[in-house]
Amino acid sequence: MNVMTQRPNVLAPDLEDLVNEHETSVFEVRDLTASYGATPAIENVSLDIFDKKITAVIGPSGCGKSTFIRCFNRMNDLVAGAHVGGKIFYRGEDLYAEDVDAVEVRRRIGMVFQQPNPFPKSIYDNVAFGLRVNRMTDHLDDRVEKALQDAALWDEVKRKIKDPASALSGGQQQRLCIARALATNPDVLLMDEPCSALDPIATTKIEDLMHELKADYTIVIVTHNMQQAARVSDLTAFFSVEGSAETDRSPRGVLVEYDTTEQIFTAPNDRRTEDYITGRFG
Amino acid sequence: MVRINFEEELMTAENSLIAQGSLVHQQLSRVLNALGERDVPEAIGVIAADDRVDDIYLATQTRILNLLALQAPVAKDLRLVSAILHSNMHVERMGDLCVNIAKFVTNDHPYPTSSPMLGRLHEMGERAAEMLQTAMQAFAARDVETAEELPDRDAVLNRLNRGMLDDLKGYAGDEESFEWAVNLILVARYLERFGDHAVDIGEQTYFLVTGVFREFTDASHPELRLQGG
Repeated sequence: MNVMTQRPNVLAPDLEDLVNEHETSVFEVRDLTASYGATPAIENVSLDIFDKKITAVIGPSGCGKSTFIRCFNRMNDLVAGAHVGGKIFYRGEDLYAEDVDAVEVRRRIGMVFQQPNPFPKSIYDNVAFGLRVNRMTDHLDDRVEKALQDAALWDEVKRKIKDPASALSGGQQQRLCIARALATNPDVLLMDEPCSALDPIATTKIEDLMHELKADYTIVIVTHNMQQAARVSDLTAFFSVEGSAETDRSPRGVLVEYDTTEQIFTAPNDRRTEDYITGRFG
Repeated sequence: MVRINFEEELMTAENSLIAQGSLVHQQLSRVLNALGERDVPEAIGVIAADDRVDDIYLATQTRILNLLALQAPVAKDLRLVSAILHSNMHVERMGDLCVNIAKFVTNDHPYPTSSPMLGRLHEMGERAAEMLQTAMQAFAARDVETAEELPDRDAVLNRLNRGMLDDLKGYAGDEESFEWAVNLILVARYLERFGDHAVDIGEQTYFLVTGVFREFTDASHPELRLQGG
């Protein structure tokens, strides 16, 4: 599939520059709109997510950050009444085409959530779970060990691999969830506020881990912590809320600015970004 | 949501910088008078008053470090913090140049108070003082256009400085005068450097407003005026 011929030209000029600077786009989002029933969540979002980069999505509550990244692995399919419009191309393929297998999408595009959510099983079985579902059970022990090593957890758990996952600390549980996502050999890791339930030391471990994972994976992280976005990401997308109960339009999330993280945090181009990141929002 | 304490701290840091600029402006004015009158007590007063300039420098430096550590400023706040930190150093160095001139006066060289060299130094001093004022006003007003006038003003100062060498030639055969005349060349050099610091503060204003750092003039290639951002 030739991506270039499919891509509608809806990017702002500065985003075109970004696309030119970073050659490989993993996702091309074009005019993406998502809603829950009659309630819009995000509207007309267009951007590219680049290969082996960490992209942070920031913005105030209700701006549709989580909805946005859930579109990347079709998690919104699982929500009754959710509707996704516009296009997302994943490595050139229309992610929402009728013949696309959503389970295969979620294997290649893994997700880690705000609260560590290990299954009530052993450490080993947590990591092996996705492998078994996807029938990737050859060399299972090796795959489990590799995933735990990649998640920087192996040394801490190798002697108690059959212990229940619930015995681990919060930070360890979150790294276990990352290992579980990595086990099925994904291409992209989506992280929805992965550190908001963790203490600073566990947070640092996850951030260091993200830095290492960047060599092999494309990462998209939603975070409320702007310093975290500044520390870990290469690119930052700032979403805001437009419309309100006072106007005739109901509130919906819009992409305000998307640029390198250095640019966003030193000299953003949009006043709304400036006001938000400097704490003068609202 | 407005970070009131943060805003106040930022404003206090900037006000300190502006106050330091006014103080150094006064120092320059005093030392030029001392130079013109060979007024040693006044020059000693300038040296003593530099402690106040240094105190403000250190207080601003500490305030900025605390802001960086405690408030994690970003975007225009970060640029302001960085611009204050740099400009603070430049203004402090300008204060030191006034002290250098004052030290020359305290050596009590027997130079005549009316001579072409003194006349030229007086003009250089006035232009240097104007440059400091322009630099600080442009900073406070976030006025890039005014900041960009500084290189032209600096060019005038540089020309006056180069003219000092012609004046010096007049004393070449006079061994007694030659010593103080060479020292006056150094005074001119201090004033010329004073102007350079004002240009540097102008560059900080440009960065503060635009987010782009560019040198107004390239010291390695002074024949080129750098354009654009």
